[in-house]
Amino acid sequence: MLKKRFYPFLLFLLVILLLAAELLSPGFVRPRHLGVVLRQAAFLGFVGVGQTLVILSGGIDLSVGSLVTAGNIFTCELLGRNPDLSPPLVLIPLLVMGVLIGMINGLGITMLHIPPLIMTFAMGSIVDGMTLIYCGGSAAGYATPPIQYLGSKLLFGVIPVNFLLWMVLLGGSTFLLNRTTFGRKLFAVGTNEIAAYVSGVNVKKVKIYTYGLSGLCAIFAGMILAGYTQTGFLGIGNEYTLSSIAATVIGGTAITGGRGGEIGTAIGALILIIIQSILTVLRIPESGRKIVEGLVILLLINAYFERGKK
Amino acid sequence: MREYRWFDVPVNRKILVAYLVLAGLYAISALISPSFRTFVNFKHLLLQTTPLIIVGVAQSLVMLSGGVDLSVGAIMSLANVVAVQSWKGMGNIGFIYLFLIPLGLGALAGGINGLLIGKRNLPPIIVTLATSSIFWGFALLLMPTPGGSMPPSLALILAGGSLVPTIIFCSLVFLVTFFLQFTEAGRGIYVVGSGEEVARLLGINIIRVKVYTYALAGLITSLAGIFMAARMFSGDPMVGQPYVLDSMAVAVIGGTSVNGGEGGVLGVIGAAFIFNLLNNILNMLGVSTFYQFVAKGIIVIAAVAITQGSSLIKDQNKTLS
Repeated sequence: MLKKRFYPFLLFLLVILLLAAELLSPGFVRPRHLGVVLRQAAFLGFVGVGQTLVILSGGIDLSVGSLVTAGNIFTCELLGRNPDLSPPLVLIPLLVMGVLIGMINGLGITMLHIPPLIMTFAMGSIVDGMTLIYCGGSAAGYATPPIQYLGSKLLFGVIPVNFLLWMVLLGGSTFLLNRTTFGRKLFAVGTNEIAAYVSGVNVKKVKIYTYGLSGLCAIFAGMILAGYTQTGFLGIGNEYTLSSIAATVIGGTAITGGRGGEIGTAIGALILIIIQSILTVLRIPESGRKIVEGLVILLLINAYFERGKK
Repeated sequence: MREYRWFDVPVNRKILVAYLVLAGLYAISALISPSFRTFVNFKHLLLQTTPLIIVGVAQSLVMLSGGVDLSVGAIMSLANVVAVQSWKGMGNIGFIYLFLIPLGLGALAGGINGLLIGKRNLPPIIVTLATSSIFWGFALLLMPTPGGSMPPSLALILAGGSLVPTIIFCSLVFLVTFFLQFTEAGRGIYVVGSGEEVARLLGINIIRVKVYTYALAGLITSLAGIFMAARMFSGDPMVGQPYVLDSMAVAVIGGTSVNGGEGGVLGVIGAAFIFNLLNNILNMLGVSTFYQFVAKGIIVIAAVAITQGSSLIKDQNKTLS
C-alpha cells in the first residue's frame, strides 16, 4: 500500500490544505500562526509516535487518551503541591508509570491472550479511575514555569519548543525502527507473528516493550500538554485516542501492522490538526467538525487502497 | 451443505464458562448484600443490562464475520436522537415512525459500513471509526444537547417493567441464533469469518455477506437506541458512547472470537449480566464511582482472560491429541 511517491503525495496534500486555509481565512500561513498550529500538532504528534509503534507491531492502543489525561492531571497536581521540588524529580516517576502501564498492556495481550482492542480499552478505564481517585474528581494544581516553557513557549515568536521535542522523539523513534535490531524485530512481528517467532524473535518481549514505549509517549504528551493548558483538565486526552489512530492510518501505516513509518504519522497529525483549525476558524459547530473529520479519513484511506490495488 | 439441526447449536465451552462465572458472581452478590436480593434491584439490573445485550448481539454478529464495529455507539446515539425527534415531529400519529425511522436509519448506516468494508476492502476498524465520527456528527446536528421527550405510555410499556425488556432481548437472541444456525445467510457469516479465501472458493458473495451483516448489526443497535430513549424518557446524543467498547468486551466474554468465524450470540446475555452485575454490587456496597472505573477495567480483563484461557486449554488439547 505504501508506494514510492507516497510521502510526496502526503506533502502535496498538506500544501493544498494550507493553501485552502489561507484562502478561507487570510493570514493562516503567517509564520506566527503556523507556529501555533505546529504547537497544537506536536501533542498529537507525541501520542502518534507511540501509536505508530504499536500499530506497526500489529496491535492497537486505546489507552493513550486516558494516559494523556493522567499525565496532564498528575503533572499539575504534583507540581502544584510541590512547587519547590525540581521538575525532573516529580516527572521522571510519572514517565516510569506510563511505561509500566504500557507494559502491563503488553503483558495482558501476550500472556493472558486478551485482544489488544479490549486490553488497552480496559486499561484506559483503569487509568481514568486512578486519575479520578487521585484528584478526587476535580482537577487542581498548576504547571510551573519550566513545564510551561516546554509546552507553550514559541522561540523567536515562531518555533514552538514542543515542536522541537516532537522532532527529537520522531528522530529517535525513526532511528529505533530502522537502525536497531529491536526495530527490525518490531516490523517482523507486525508482518507475521508466527514467522517472527519461528525465526527466533522473542515476540512477547517485543510487544511488551512496544506497548511500554506507547505508554511513555502518551504520558509524556500529557505532561507537556499540562504546560500548555497551565491547569489540569479531566478528559482532555479523550480525543487523542482516535486522533492518533487516524493520524497513523492517514500517514500510510497499515492497520494490520508491518508496513509504514513515523514520518507519515507526523504528516498525518499535521493534516488532521490543520483541518481541525480550518474548521474552528470557520466556526463550524462540533457536529459539522465530526462529520468532516470522518469524511476526510474515509476519503483518504479510500484513495490509498485504490492506489494499492493497482 | 449439510442440514443443521437444533442440537448443532454450538453451546461451546466459552459460553458455559460465561454462565458459570455469572452464577458464581450472582451467588456471592446475593450472599454479601441483602439489598441485592430485592426484586426492585433485579428489575433495575435487568433494565440496565438490556441495551448492553442488544448491542452485544450486534457486535457479536460483526465479529463473527471477522470484522469489528466501532460505530455501534454512534448508531445507537443516532437512533436514540432520531426516535425522540420523530416523535416530536410526527405527534400522536407518529408512533410507528418512532420505530421505523430509527431502525431504517440504523440499517442504512450499517449498510454503508458494510459497503465500504466489503466493496472497497477497507479495514473495518478504520472505516467504522470514521463513520462513527460522521454518525455522531449527525446525532449532534439533530440534537446538540440532551432533551426532548418520549410518549410516556410507550416508554412505560417498553422500559417500565421487567417483562417486556426480557422478552425483547430473549427473542432477539433466539431469533439471531436461529438466523445464524439455520439460514444460508447466517451460515455465510461464519464462512466469511473463518476465512475469506475459503468463502470465495465456495462461491459466497463476500460483499453481500458483509453488507447484510453490518446492516443487521446497525438495525439491532438502533433498537438499543430506541430502548434507551424509552428508559430515559428523552434523547441524548452521547448515550451510545460507553457501548462501543463494552459491546466488544461482552461479545468476547460471550464466546465470540475476535478473529471471526467462531462463537455465537447465546453467551451474550450471560456476559452482559456479568458486566453489569459487578457495577451493581459495587453500587450496593457504596463504592465510589471513581473506583468503579478501575473495577470495570479489571473485570473486563479478568473475564476475557478466563474465557480466552478456557479456549487456550482446548487448543492445547487439540494439538496434544
